[in-house]
Amino acid sequence: MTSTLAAVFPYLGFANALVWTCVGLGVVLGVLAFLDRSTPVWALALLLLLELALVVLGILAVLTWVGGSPPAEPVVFFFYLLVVLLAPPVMVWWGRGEPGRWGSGAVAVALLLLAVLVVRVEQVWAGGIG
Amino acid sequence: MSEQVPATRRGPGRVLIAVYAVFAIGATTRALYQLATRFEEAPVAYLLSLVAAVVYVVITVALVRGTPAARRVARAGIVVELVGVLVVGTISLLLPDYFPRATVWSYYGLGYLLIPLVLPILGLWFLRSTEGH
Repeated sequence: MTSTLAAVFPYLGFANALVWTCVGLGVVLGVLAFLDRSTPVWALALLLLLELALVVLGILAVLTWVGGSPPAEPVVFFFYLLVVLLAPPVMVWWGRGEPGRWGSGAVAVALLLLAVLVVRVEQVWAGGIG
Repeated sequence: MSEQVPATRRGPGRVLIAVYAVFAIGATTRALYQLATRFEEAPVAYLLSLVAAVVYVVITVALVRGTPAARRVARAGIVVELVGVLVVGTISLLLPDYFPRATVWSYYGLGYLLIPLVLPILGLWFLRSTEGH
């Protein structure tokens, strides 16, 4: 059972939509990697949109935080959020540095890990980190 | 010469470094936080998390450098990682009381989609296949 402290992440629906966006884009880039294609420009545009959405999510979460409902694990939450926000730019830089399948493959794998990290952001907000 | 990109940063090395970097950052953050706030709850598990984190950081840096010496460091680090995940995974199954709190290597990394078990095998295979390039 959840205790009074363990509040659910306030923008769970939004965050979950981003999780599935990461998974979807990751799978598409995985297919492109299989076909030996570089990361296409439209995927970079989607990654930029994803980054903007993550920034909005972060701002909303921090506003809730300063508004008096802090996350259960503030320090861990802060660092997870930081990593999640830094991930897409690093991904693009890393994936563009390599033509062909391994560049898009690296972005694909990183996107799937990013999906897990966003889920962790939700969990850390609610508490219950091992 | 120095503008030559090392083999560990090309091709599959890109993917390998991406995964190791995420594990290095994630494991380090988590281990430091656990040690700072709740060390007494499970000292063995949390110290082990820190060891795992250091191993991941060393491997990531060594793969990014990619010089012959760095490749040896990476291989040694990956062997430690493989032994760690096998030993800790086995102990966590047979003697669960030893690790009341999960580490990244508990149950062979099942909580991390078994990536901790597969990663060192892929890493050693990758280093071997790029030998002499």
